[in-house]
Amino acid sequence: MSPFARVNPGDLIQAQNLNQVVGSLNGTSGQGVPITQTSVNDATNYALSVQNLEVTNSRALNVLKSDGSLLIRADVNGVNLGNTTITGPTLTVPNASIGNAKLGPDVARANLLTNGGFEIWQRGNGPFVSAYCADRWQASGAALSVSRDVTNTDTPGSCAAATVTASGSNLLFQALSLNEGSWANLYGKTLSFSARVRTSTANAVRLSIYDSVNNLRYGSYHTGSGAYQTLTVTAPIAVGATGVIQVSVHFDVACTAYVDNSILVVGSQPADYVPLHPADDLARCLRYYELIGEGVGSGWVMGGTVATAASQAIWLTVPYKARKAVAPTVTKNGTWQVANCAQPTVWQSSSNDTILLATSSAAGAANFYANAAGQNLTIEANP
Amino acid sequence: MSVYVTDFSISPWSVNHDDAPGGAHEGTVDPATIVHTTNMDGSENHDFLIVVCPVCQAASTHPVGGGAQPQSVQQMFLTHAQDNGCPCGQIAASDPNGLAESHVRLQVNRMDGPGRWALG
Repeated sequence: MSPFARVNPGDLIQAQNLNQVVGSLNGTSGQGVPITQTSVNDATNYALSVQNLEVTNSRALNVLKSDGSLLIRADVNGVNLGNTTITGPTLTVPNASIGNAKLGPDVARANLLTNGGFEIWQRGNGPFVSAYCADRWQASGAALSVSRDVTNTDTPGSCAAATVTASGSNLLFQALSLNEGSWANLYGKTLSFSARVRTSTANAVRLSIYDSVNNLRYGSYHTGSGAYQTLTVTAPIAVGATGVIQVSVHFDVACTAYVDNSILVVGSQPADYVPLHPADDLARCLRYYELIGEGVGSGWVMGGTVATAASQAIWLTVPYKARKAVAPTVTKNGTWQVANCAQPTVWQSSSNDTILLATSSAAGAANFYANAAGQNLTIEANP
Repeated sequence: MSVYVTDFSISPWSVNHDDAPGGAHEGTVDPATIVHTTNMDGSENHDFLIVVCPVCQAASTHPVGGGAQPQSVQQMFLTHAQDNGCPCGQIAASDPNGLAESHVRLQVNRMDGPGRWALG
């Protein structure tokens, strides 16, 4: 396109100057693009429309910075803002340019907790006081009692019902041992913990994140509305922290509260709880606790031999459902069925299996088995 | 959790069976009844100790690493070694307490790795 010729004050204007402008506005070949004239005091049409009738590229607008780099470009490919492109309904931004803080809470992210939904209670329904309750969750504080609840949940399934009878240090917490696997990789990272909480007591329930350097960092209290609210807390984990990273639900005064659907994620933006596949949820729990030989009809544990004399060993290797985080404590519960032998005992155990041992009373068939409720092995590893 | 000692200060020791079928219960046990498991050759295995619940007779076999209750279990192994020596022959009951602690800590490291020690 030919450049416009400047007309200085006092100069006689030449027809070619004006024709050049008109030609440009009309989109005359080699002179410019057509500008569609529309009404401006109009609720339907835009005050300015620029249309490039050239079909292939439709380059309608190109605005440059003083250094000649792109500020705004609009053409058939969409709108390019220099580092951000909007194409139709799609926003395209440079790779790796959206930080965690810009994410919405509904962007699903990996939950670092085990049994965050309080769906798995292998130890029973409670009530539990100063003990493990839902899998991997511990109740702490003599005034706090925690039970499994299926009627006051946030979403179908189960939740933790907390009954608190006195003010004090009453916690429902989960600890991530920095000695276990890769948790130490959380050094220097910011974590966000959130949980759905329901209570009618104001300023009673809040969340915290703990590490040994920064100690406890708290979130805001539940308002006491009687409805489920999402409580959150965000805090960095110090490099060199030792022991555990602990996320807790604090019950600071006497109250009744329900806790459901918790999630711990890396980043400054809390995330909404998204359930794991049930198989994955259970597998995480089994890494720390499992029952073998739960009862009638399934889960039998049985060992036997034909002894040639008394005092002969009957060995039974019992593999676990899941490898344990550390060498576990194995507890034999109940009085098992025995024939021609004494009650079996745990001879040795490892992270993978345990070996039971019983001794024959005399020559002949000898066996032991667990086949009723309360006759089982519990395998527990708490790193 | 398991059957574990909650108070070592007075004999008999207090124990808690916190995941007992039907609900948790407590009781006391004579420390002398807490014994090691036995190897095939009849010797004692210094990596395991058995605690029997005085209420329901459930028996928890704890590993020296700590298993379900690291602090309590490691303290139990330490106190047991200090009072009785270690069946492996490395520690005698008459040895200084610090020697028993070094021995038990080495056992813990071998079983569960460095960093598992919970007794400070």
